[in-house]
Amino acid sequence: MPDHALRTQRPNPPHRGLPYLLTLPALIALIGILYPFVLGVYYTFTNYTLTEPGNIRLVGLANYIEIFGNIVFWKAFGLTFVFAASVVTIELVLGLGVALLLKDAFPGVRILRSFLIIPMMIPPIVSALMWKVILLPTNQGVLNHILGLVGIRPIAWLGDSATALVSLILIDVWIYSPFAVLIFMAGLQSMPKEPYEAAQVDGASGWFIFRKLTLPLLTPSIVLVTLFRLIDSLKVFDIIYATTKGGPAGATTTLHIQSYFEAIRWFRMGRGMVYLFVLWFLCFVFSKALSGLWTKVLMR
Amino acid sequence: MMTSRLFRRILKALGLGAYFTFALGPIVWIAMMSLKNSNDVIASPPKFVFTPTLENYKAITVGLDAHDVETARPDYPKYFLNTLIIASATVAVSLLLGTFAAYSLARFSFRFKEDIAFTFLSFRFAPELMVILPLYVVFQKTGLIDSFTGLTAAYQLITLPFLIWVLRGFFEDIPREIEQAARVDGYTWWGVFRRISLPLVKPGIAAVVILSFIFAWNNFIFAMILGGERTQTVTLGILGFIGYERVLWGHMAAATMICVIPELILAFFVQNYIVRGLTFGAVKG
Amino acid sequence: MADIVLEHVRKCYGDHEAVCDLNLEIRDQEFFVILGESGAGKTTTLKMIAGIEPVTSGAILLNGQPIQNLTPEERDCAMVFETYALYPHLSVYENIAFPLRAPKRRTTDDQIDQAVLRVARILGMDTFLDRRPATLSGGQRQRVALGRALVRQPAVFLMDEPLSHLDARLRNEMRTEIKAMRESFGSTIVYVTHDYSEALALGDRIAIMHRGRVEQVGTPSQVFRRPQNRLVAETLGDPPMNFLSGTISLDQDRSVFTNGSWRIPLPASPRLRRCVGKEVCLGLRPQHIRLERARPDTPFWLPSKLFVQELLGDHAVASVAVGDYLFMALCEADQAYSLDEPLYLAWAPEHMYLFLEDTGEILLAEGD
Repeated sequence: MPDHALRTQRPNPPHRGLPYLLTLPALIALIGILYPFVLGVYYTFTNYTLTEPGNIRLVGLANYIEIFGNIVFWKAFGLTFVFAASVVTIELVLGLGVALLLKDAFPGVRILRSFLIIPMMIPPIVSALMWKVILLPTNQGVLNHILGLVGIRPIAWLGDSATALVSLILIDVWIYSPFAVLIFMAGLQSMPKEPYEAAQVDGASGWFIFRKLTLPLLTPSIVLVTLFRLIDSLKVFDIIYATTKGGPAGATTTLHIQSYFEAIRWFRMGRGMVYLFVLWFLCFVFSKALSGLWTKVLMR
Repeated sequence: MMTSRLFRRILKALGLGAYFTFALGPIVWIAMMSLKNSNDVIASPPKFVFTPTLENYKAITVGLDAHDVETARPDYPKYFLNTLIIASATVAVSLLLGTFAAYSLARFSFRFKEDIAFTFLSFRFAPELMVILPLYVVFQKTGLIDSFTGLTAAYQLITLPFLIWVLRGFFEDIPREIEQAARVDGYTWWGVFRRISLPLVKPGIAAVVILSFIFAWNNFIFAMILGGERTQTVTLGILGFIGYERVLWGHMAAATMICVIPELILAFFVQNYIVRGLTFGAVKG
Repeated sequence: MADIVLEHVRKCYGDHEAVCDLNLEIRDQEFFVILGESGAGKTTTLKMIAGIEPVTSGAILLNGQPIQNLTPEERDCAMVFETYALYPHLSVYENIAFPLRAPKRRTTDDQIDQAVLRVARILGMDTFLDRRPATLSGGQRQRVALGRALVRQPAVFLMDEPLSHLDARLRNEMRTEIKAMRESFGSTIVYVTHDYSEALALGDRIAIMHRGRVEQVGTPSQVFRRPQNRLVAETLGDPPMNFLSGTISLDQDRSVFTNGSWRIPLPASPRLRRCVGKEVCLGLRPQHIRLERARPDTPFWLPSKLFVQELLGDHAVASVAVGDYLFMALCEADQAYSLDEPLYLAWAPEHMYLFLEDTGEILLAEGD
């Protein structure tokens, strides 16, 4: 992903085998990882159940057919996308907004930036628990208490299927919007000044400059934020597990969570791997497309 | 009469104020919670003014209750230690394996190079359970469940690709001619690596080590499925404060603060490299 | 003893041939200059001698022994890089000491100290030995780079445009110093530059390279007075040689250079006779041109009109229009011409060059 110089001038290694020798240990780790992946894919075609490890039989596409025909899968599929799309959109807009506010260097930017990264450095599961406390139903939760001060009745944020997903989106935005802010800040900082000066001399309005100059120049940053946030939100797990565990009544059961239930709660490893394989495929396709787009946009 | 400029500045300040209240408010609230006694902590409506007490901290670290009477031995220090061991071991192993791989990818030309590099990168974008679940089966068979060795090995998935990609960028930043000069001066590739390349990426290595440590520390899902009683980490431990019968909010808050404060201090030191780290080297920041 | 031979050396980067069929012989303790513009392949050649770049094919021999397959550290070469390539994290002292500390050399700390201080004294670096490269000026860094190469007393010294990043005055100073130090080097020196005056001033012999090929090898006098082709003639000299296209025709059994109505008689030579009818180029160096107000009585002149005159302190450069061509001539500083003034561009016949238009090959050189 880093932009490598396109020079063909590259010295050959002193001994032909050296680079392989150097990457070998990491490569072994790689194989150690690839093997489980291949094993997982294999399991999708079996009836592997953790309670009967010896009794493993190939069932072909039976798992796939059963799962794809079940509304539970499609509900999880839909929820995964809704969550990801919402989260990415909000974080892009919020991230850009805050980055623009922080753009003009004023004393204290460095301090603010060090505050900014705090939500990202806390273990997500811990942050989610923190928010669980804040989002307690009834007046015990501090958020409900504050809303009560302006006359809003207490909401069972995580307990009500109507608001559970929204609450999770809120938590995700809290944790990861700083990421978008940081990327946009870096993008804004590296923008050339001359086009702006020229536009000002030409008398262009602020909004026009933003639309026609800033946004296009920020395209690589937008693609990058989308890449990382989309993939990460598709496979979100910690936040959901800490708070709703997929409930209430499946209102927050994404593909990743459902796979956990299938494999760990109900021991149906084969089926669980099917969910994961679908999720993996989604992540793979999007990550390839977006990183390809990023390289293309960067070269322009 | 306010000028439009002043008006804009006030709006900006309000906007930033709102955002940072949003960003830091919850943490401040939990910090306050950690200092509340067991009644204040579950008060409804929540209390903003209260008498602070250290009883939560004492309870989870040394096992003294509100009246400084010894209670059952707390597990939290053990979780903390476990996490420390696992994160440190993981980073050490990743550093050993990854530094050479990163250098190799940065400097040499060889077949399958970009394929190998891409495979390392792909783990950043894969759903964790996809690898953890089959790994669980493998670990069961090989007895690696709930072992420090097993977890350190599994955690490589989190830290190794990250370390390789970011260090690769740092090695690439060294001007080639400097290494070439050292070769001409009479050093083998290893001599050049040891005396020139490594010293020149020292700040990069420091940043990467700290960030890897934080990523390993923050992990939940690996520890939950591949870990167990012996190797329980803080991330699992904090979850454990929320029991079926009762929730020890105060203890949980104190545990959170103890877990989080060291991390935030470490993060402060790497803030110059944070963008580079989080984007796996894509943005130099 | 260190003589270097390059035999049929070729270097390709993918499809691009940077160096094609290079053959050079560099004698022991010779100051050998490779001159050419950027992209000519001179730095590549130097790097192949050093071992930093592998040869695609061909052989490099040091004292008769092939070294093209040896790693850089196994060859006895020292190199001064164009960008200096100093070690940023080491002090000047440590930068210079670095080559001596290489494990294979086994130099004691005392020996290292002696050698470093000796070099520091020669190059006037005593005052900043403990500073880091980042705190030094360009000239100081250049000295450190030089010192780092000097300290080893290698068989071969390779220098890649070491003076090109210095300002003009410093460049001339260092040039003189290098020339003076040359004796104490005791090594064979291969020096790469794009500056022709550096080449002429420093080199025992010069190789002119263009697009990966060697155009000519010779002493400064040889390549300047008797360039083998138009390219070499153009490379050496500032302002560069002036060219006028035309043909060789026969006029009463004498060879004549013709262009439109202009006729310049050529010396009798069987070679020129053989080229009758061919397209050729007449070459005149700016310093050999006289601008006269009165028509000369020799046939060696062309009509011209003043286009622009640049006064450069102690001399002036006059650009005159000769038909559609622009010729540059060097003249006295106090000789002022007016715009569009008609002048006779005259020269002495022995200063005339003639080149074939298609191959650039020389037909007539100075003194013929």
